[in-house]
Amino acid sequence: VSLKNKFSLLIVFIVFSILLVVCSVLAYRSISGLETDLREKDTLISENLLPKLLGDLGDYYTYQYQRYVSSVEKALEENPDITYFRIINAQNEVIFETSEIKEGKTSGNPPKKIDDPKIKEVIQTKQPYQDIIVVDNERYIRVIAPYIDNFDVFRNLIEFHFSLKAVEKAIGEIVLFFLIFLVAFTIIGLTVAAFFSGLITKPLTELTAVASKIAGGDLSQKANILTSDEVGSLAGAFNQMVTTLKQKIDQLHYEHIKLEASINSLSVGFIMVDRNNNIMTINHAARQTLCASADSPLATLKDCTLTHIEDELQGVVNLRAFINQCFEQKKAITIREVKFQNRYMKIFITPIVTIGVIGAVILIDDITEAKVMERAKEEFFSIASHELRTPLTAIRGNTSMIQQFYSDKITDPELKEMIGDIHESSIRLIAIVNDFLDTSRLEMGKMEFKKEQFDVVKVAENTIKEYMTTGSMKKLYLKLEPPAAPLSPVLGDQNKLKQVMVNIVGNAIKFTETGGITVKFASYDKFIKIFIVDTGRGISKESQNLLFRKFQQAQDNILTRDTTKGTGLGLYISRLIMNGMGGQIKIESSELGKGTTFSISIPVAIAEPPTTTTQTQQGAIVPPAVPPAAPQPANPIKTSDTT
Amino acid sequence: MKKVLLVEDDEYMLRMYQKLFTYGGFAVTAATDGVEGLKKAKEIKPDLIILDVMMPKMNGLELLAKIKKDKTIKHIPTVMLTNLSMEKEIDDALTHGASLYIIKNEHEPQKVFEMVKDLV
Repeated sequence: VSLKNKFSLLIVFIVFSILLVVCSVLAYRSISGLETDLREKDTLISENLLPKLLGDLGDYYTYQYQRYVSSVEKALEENPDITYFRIINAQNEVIFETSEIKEGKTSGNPPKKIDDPKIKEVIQTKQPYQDIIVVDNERYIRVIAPYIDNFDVFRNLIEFHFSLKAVEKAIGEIVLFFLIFLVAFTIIGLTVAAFFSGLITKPLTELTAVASKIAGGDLSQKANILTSDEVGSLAGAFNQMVTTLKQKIDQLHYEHIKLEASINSLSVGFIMVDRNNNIMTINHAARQTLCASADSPLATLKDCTLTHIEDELQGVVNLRAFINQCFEQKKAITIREVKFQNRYMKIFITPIVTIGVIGAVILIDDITEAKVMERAKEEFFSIASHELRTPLTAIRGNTSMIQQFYSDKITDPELKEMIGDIHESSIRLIAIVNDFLDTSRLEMGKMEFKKEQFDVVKVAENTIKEYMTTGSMKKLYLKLEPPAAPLSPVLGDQNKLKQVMVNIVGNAIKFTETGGITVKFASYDKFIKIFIVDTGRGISKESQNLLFRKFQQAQDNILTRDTTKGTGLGLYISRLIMNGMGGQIKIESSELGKGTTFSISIPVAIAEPPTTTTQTQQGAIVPPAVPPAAPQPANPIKTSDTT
Repeated sequence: MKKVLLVEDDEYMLRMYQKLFTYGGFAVTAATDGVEGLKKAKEIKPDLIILDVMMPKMNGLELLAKIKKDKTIKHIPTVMLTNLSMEKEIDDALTHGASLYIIKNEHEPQKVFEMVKDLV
């Protein structure tokens, strides 16, 4: 039965009940009215009983007393409701009354005078009178009526009392019946109503109870409502919803477990805190590092709070301050190097931003291995530097001393040549080792650059001076064109500029057969340019692109590379050095067979902070028009070491 | 005859510089680590001390610092002769009172001798 039908039934029942109650009330009212009817109309008495009694008993005969009494007794027998009867004559004297009967008399009592206004009234009016009297708490209809004989003569009057006890009893029973009926019906009505409403509300109550349990987290609950009404459908839909919800929650839980497993398996420490610095998640790696005491499967988040971690990191890093800074700035923070218990850590703090910042993720990366590796690498080069150079220095030093102090004893030209070869090879080897070390230092950013002010012309002059002998041996000119006006001092590392100059000029000499090398200067706003112009072989366009790269030489085929001439690092080192000084090195121009012009730019020492020099060299240098190289035969340039 | 103290842990290197200074007319005393070097410096009070940097027991920079703190020998010209070419070591040595800092592989022995002989 559908809920709608149940409601309909209930409403029908209620309407029915109301109707019944109304009927009952009406019935009661009509019963109440009955008494009044009896009292007011009493057709029974006035139209039937009274004429009969008047006819039978109105004519009183003294001589027929006993007969009369029996008539009275008979009338009273026929009408048990009549409790009293008397006859009164016109002189207001009672001539007979029912109380006489009991005595068994044969004649009536002498007339007894009474003084009853109602009786006087009836004697006068000769009209019957009727009222209700109360005797001993019982009600009676008192009837006083004149007896007028057939000759229309008033003879006497009769008075009798008609007991209302029976009528009232009957009425009382009816009223009682109605009351009982009313009460019973009300009780039945209420019960039925309760039953029907129970039919409706019971499943709803049950559903509510189940919903509360589910809200409390117990998803195993189901609404056990098998009715086919709307509540039944609702329960079905509800159960379906619970099933789906359970699936979704299981899925979420599964995802959560997967995520947690992933986070726990990370080698990087992972901590998630909320806005109030409460730890929400902390993985195994983070516990191990920062919360060793709480690193057990039984440990809960309470065993590892931010306070615990802070105690652990006491004096190392103020993590909380960084986290708060992260919250305030809404930006990720990296603490590059935290040394903690002989380990190095890198800490990243990233805010979790939705509408506002709701928390932060802290990643703790153990960079100890990387640091150890880095140090090992540095140490390797440092040790290699020393360990390789020391024996090489001993070889070169000894051959050099042999050549100087024992030249007279070495008469055999081949022995002399062999010693010379050992000497030259050791010199080259030292140069190679030095190139390697320079390269690694430059690449690792370990090369230190001085910030000194100096005159580039002097550096150029010294370079030229060093190569004078070599140049003259090859019959090449080495010229320095002094600048027209004194140049501003430059800012940089004088020795390293010299190293670059030596490399470039050395290369130029190496690859120039006729003509020579000219060094010139040009002054610009923020830098000074040194041009090294040779009349050598020139470099092809393809080779120019590769020239400043690592291990590149101006030859395309690695097999044809002139390995006796160097490591292929010279120009690469020169480029790194010049960049490190905020300067630049490049090929200004080169023409095969005519020669090459290299330029070295170096920032001038101005009042600006030195840090701006890098920007200057990257942003401001524009290749100027190249002064035409001396019209002399050119030769190709090849990278080579600095010695 | 002028006395020179050579503190050098590499035996080939030591022998080479021993010869160099002997040919140059010096009386050469050798030590192969910093501790021995300090001991001999105090004993013989040489006219010149030549120090390597990387050495066992006590390195050259520590030895230099000790020499320059010792009243009896602090006046002796002390030269660092090493293959370490980092600016830091050079600066350290010069601020601690080294007269010269020579990188071995950059110079032939005769040149080294030319550089230091005038200190005496």
